[in-house]
Amino acid sequence: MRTIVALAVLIAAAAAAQPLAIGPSIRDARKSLDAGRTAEALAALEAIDKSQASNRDQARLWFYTARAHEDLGDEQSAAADYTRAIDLEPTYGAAMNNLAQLLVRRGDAARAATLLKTAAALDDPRHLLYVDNYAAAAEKAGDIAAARTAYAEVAIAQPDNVAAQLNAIRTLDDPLRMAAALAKLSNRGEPAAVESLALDLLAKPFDARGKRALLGVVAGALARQHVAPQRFDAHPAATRLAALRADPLLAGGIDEILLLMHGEVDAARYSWWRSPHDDRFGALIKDLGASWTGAGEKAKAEACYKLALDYAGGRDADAFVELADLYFAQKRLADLDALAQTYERPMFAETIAARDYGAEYRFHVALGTMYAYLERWGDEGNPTSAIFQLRQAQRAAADYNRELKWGQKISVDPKTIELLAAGYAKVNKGDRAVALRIDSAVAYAADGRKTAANGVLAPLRAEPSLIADASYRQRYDEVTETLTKPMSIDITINFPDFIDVKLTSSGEARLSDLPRPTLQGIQNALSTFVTGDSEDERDRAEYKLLQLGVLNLTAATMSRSSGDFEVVVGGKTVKCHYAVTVQ
Amino acid sequence: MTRLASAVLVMLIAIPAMAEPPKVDVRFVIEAREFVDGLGKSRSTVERALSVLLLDECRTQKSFPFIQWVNNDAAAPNRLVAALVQRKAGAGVETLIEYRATFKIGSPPPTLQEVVYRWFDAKNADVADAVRPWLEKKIRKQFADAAFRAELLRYFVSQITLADRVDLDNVTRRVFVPVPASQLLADETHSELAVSFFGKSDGRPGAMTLGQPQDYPQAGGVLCLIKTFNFGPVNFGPVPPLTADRSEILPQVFGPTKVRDVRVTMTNYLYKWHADTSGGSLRHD
Repeated sequence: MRTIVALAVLIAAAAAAQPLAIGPSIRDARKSLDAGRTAEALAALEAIDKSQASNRDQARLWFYTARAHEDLGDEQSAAADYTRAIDLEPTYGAAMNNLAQLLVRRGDAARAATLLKTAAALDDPRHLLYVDNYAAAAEKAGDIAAARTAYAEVAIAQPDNVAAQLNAIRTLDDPLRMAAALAKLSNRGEPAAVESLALDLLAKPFDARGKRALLGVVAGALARQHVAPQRFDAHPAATRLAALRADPLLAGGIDEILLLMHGEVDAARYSWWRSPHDDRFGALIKDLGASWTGAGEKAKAEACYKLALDYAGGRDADAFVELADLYFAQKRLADLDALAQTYERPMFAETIAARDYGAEYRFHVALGTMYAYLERWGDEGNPTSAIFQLRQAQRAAADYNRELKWGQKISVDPKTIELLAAGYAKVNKGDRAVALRIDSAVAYAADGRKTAANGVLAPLRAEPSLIADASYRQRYDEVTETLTKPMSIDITINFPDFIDVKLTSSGEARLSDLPRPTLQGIQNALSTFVTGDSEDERDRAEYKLLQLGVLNLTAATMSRSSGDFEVVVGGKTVKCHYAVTVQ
Repeated sequence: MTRLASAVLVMLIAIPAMAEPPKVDVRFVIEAREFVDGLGKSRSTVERALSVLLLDECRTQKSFPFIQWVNNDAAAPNRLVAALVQRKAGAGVETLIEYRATFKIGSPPPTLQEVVYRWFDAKNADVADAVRPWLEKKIRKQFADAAFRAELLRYFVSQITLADRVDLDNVTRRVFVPVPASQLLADETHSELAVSFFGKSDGRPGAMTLGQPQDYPQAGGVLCLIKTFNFGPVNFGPVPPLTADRSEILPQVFGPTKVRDVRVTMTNYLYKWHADTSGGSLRHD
């Protein structure tokens, strides 16, 4: 009995030394707060005896009391409560955050920013919230550089958070960088948000180059949203653009966008957008063509695609193919021929100079297919014929595959072979047709494409007598024999073990002048850019480069093997070149 | 009045553990003849790869993470099928990805379609390694597009029932939806829920829209403001959301004894990037 009493006394003594646990009472008050019964919650919180509670519990009590006061609109008491909570628990991030939000509302953004900077430095899972709020407070306090850095941190951590991306772009210090980042965001599927911000930014006092770049973003965003001309006047951009016409740096460009959206297709009316040429305006013209095609307005669609071709100096393969398809649908063979004859040369000059054989291949397949269906077989010297175009498609694919270092090759479509062989047969070049079928079947079989090989050989199987040449007879026998056996394909893929990305700089400043984290970020993003498996991965890397301040990233200047871009360091431009070497 | 409010809240707090989010089976199927013939046995490999991609795209934060997207679950009550189909165009056929929805109550006609190969395009329909990346690129591009996601929400996601009951809090006039905030992941400034129901006595249809879903973790759901309400003689919204006189009428016309067949669906959605916040402030410590 004595032992039990002694133990009871010990337990009582220990309990007296421990602070009183008030967690359950706080939980009850929280329930009332969350249910919207604020007065009830506040009464319960105020009734809790704080004297015996630990500092941590007292701080929590003040946090929820502050919340109740905030909900009741008593911001002064709420601020005092949050301050008490922080005094008791100096690393109380949630209280710092909420006090800072209150201070921002009460006009003390500078103090809010200081508090949030402290909160953001804590090891707290809500770090990004604190950084985001810090950015907003710093911006309100006029510290744009701090806001820019903080917004960029959130944007990089949350690439799908559109608001974060827009904040990061909005606070950049250079309209050209803003335009480049906005264009990227638009390409990533957010053209409406991009259009809205670009229109906001156009009202700022930027120079002519900056404004032109931002207006180009608006044109591109309109194209990506597929705003039908019939509904343009109801689109938010219509009124906002009209309101910006008073700006002499923009008036010409805006007038031409409005003219275009209202149906003007006279090429002579579009001078502002020609000096210099802007692909995004070209995209807008083509998109209008697509809208008119969708609406069944063939004449209007045709006028738009003609204008797009004219605007691109004849070097727009997409506009060409759309126009060709329109002529094909209306069986306007003479117009199709005139189109091919007029634009064949500039189109090829462009694609071959840019070594964009993939685009060239698609172009020739499309045109060749149309001529084939029109039974305009022709010959290899006549650009307005199926045989010429389909042969060029084969050649472009071979050029592309020869240039390719790694990645996927262009496989010539069996349908292209089928059409070309049919063409040869029609123009009494039966031997060429046979040779093409057998050579293609051998190539397909070597790649394990049994279906494709059997498909192109089918007419020869039906009529073997077509094979007159002895050597081709032998090749035919060999390939048909191969195709009867189970396919065993040995593929050796040579992945590079290591790659080196060498970065060199020139210009007014050096790369080493960049802050270390920025340079590290550029190097990391660049290596992802050159090695990224998917387009999405490379796109994200490119976007990260833009956010790090890299300028002039274009497909024309950057590839997987080498590229050029610029970075501004302390107001000076560094020209950078990277080259990839495979080990 | 206070006693009545307490009763409602007691009922809210006594709600048992919440059910799982609604399941949607998502899959990609190839039906276009040219591709079925060309791909042969490798068709199923391509379909599987694209189904997995669809699953990933549907689950991302920018899409619809409040739904339990699954693959190959025949028992799932809702299904989204992306089918590769063909139709006549030009002198040949064009190939499209067509999204088809199936719910318990039926299948609406497919309205979400996008041409992925024009009639004159090279397809290489027999090469899985050419077809798969091409279609992957197209699907990724679709889901990256805010306009496509809005269309998918309108056509499919907004038809999926998230809860089959709501409770009106007679004191605050807010509506409790028994879907936890941690599952809904909805930003309160942009997200909107729709509630449809029928009068118990006369079968008259009613509807309301709810905004500003706020976490109410103690009852495992969210409390929302009523933005619009339309049921019999009571009709208000969207601005102002709720006037005092309307506020008094609501409990008289809406409640478990007065309505049946309640369905809650998501009509506008934005992912909540900073959980448990309201206007940048934390609701809990």
